[in-house]
Amino acid sequence: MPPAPLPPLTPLQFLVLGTLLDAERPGRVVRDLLAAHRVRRTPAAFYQMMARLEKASLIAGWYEQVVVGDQAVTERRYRLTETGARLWRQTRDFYRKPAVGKVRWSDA
Amino acid sequence: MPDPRSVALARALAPPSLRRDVFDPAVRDLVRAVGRDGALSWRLAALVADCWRLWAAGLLVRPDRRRLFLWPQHARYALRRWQADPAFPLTTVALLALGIGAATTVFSIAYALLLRPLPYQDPDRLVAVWPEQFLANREIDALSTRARSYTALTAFSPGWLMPLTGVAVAQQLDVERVSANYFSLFGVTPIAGRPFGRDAETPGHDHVVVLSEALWESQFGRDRSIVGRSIQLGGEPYLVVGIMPRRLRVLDTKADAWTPWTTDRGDWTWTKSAATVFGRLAPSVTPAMASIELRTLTRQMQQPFQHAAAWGETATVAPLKEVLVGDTRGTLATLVAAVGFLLLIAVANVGNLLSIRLADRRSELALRSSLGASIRQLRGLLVVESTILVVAAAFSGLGIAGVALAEVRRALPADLPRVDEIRLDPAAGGLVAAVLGLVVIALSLIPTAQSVTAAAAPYLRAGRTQTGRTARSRGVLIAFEIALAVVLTSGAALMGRTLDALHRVNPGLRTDHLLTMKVQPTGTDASVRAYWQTVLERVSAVPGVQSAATILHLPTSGRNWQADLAVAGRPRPAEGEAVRASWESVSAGYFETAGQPILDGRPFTMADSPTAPLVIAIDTTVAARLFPGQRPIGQRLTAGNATDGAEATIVAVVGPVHYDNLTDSPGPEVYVPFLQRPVFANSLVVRTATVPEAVAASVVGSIRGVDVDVPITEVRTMDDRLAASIDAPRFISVTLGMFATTGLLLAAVGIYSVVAFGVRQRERELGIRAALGADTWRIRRLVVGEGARFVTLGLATGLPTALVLATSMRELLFGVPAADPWSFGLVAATVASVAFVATLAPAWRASAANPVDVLRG
Repeated sequence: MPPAPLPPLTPLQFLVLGTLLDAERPGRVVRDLLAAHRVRRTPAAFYQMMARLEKASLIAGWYEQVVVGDQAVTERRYRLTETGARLWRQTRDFYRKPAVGKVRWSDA
Repeated sequence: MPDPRSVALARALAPPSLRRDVFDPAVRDLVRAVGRDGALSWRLAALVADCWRLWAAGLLVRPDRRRLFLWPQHARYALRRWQADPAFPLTTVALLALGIGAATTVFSIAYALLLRPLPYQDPDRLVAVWPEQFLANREIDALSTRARSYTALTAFSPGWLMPLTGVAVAQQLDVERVSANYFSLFGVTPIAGRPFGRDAETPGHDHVVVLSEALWESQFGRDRSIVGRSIQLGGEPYLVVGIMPRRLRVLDTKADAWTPWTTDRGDWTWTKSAATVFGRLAPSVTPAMASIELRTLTRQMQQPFQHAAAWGETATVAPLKEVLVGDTRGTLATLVAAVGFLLLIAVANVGNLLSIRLADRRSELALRSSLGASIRQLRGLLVVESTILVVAAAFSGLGIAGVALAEVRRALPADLPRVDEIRLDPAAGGLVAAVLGLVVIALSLIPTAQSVTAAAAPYLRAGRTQTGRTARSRGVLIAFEIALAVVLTSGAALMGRTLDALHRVNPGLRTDHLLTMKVQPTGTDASVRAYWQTVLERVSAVPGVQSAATILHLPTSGRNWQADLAVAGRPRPAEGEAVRASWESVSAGYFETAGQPILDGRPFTMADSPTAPLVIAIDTTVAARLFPGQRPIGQRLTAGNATDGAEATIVAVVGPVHYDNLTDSPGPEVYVPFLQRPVFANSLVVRTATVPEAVAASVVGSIRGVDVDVPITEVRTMDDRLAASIDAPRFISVTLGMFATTGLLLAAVGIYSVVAFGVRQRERELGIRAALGADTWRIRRLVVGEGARFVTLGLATGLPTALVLATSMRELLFGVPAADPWSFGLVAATVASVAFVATLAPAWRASAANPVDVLRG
């Protein structure tokens, strides 16, 4: 029997895409949500990761102007693409499967 | 809102590939986070740094950049191989380190002496104004009034010896008299206190002094309260007004203190007030423009100041830096050229070694190539190896330079300007190492192209081989090394002969068993006479002392006082046309004590007292100029300040003595008896029966017994003084000798390595020759002949080059022509002998091999 394929997303990609499942979000919010899962990235490292996900067409990003207090600022916002949503589901399914042929240390 | 310019600047500093995707969104978050008035700059800097970190990390993981990972692998491989066979890396590093060390040493010296800006404000505008080297007050005054090329002119009169008394150890100070604007002209501000003001230039207000930092440290323990107090200079009180930093040192006179240059308009005479003039050029005026103006002014000054028509003909305005380093330029140029040659020999040698090494490794490279290594990867391997060697050599070379510079500072002639500014210049070392590194890496790459582009099969099949072309190119490199070694050795030989000639110069007196020192009493003429009389009596009574006498300036001291001579009964010559001689005041018995021969007449005696008729002695140079074909004894002469304008009778003609240095012609010189013309600044000469050093302490003790406050300095033997006077040629000679020896050794290593490699390459051929009946001598001749070809080519090109270059050394030579046949003959013989010896070992090894073993393989 051929071995089962690994999930299409890495755990980190899975986590990032998961933050965008229910709504589009600004980058800083995504970064804060990751931090809540103890995944801490510097701003540059975080946006580099997001840029790679964009290049892989898993997410889409754009700039949007918002007003904070009396100050107008722009921020990068992201949403999940169809491909991203599909791959996220595939990965979720992989982790939902019960472990087959689990080896216990005591059997070894 | 944060400043958009700082954001734009940060964006410009970020790696271009990450600006759009990483920097732009991240910086917007930053702007939002800090709000309107938050401090953004350090966060921007952190962001830029983070972007670069990501960029560098990306570089390492991208597949097309993975070859970078091979560098550590190459380095590890090289180190492992060298561990097994350390001769090659050690030789290469030693050769390169030697070259880098020598070059860094000499370039550091050249930079300190020639290139580093003077430590003054706007130093390029500072000039020496020289109608004549010394000007009288009236001429300085006229220049200051009329010249328009300067923002300021200042008078400078060095070399005034004044005793400092009233301190723990009395000291003779070297004082410079300078105008009040001297310090501001150079832009040097005092460490403490102030410079003296213009009012101090007036006689009666001039007893103020500015101390040097060195004197402040040695005599007053850096006590700031000395400013405002009086010290005893020349027996008179002087008010200390300021302390100047060490860097204020002009024309390389080591001033201990500065006093005002007084301008007494009632005393305009040339002889009593003469100084050098420095100026600061006005904006947009060049030294050439100022020189033209100066020549016009000197022509205008000739008549009113009654100068001869020739006065000021050579008037010039020279940049101060030119004046300071002008004399040493030739010396340094010679050393820089010598080190350049040494560097070239080292590079040629390393090139040769690399080439031989590569030829040895052709099989390995061919194997790597056939297993799939690209040319780029093979080159990378060789570049990594060369880089490791160069870096190791650079550090070793800097170490060598550090040690060498410490030694050189000690060995350099003390009178070399700016010698205290010499220090290891890492930039010079880095530059030399970088240039040398590039050359070595390039040399290591050239043969790579030959190896890796050639088909691998022949190398894999046949093992080592050598083409005629590479052997020839190595031979040419060796001939080049020999030629450079010939040039270096020729320079050393010529300087060696110069040094020998200087040692043979007759100084004009008996220098053995002669102790000298400077003793400077002050007081009235009568008290000074009494002091010296007591000192000479006491010193003569010291056990081991044969006789003692005094003279104004010691031979080879480089100091002199000048007087215009006029023979009584002859028309008085016009100013500038009289015979000018140096004059010395000597005590009775001086000529006998110093061993200066009296050729005619009688020595000075105690009978030549202040009340007796004035007498004078002249040397043979003065006799020949003033009395050609006559006997001078009994003639009468005036000698300016030496006789205070009065006539004196010539009682002796003495032999000439070198007072300046041994290379200049001696004389003209006149001598007057100390009792008739006492002077404050004086030197003592003591003829000893034993080694002079053995009695020095007793002599100094007996002088201190007369007056403990009188400074006694420079206690040295006359032999030491003479040796010190030829420090400069000795330094060049020794340095060139070291370079030449190193160059010869390097060339010998080069010849040995090439011939030995040739022998290894031709093992089979030599074995066949031996098997066919060639005897050992024939094989040895064959090998030695191969080396001889390179040596002949090197000598044929090196000797003419050395002859041409020797002419540029002419001003450094003494008593030997630039095209000295003995020197060049010796050089050719030495280089040929060294080369011959270098080829002997491979020749012997070639003849000792068993032909059966060699042919069997």
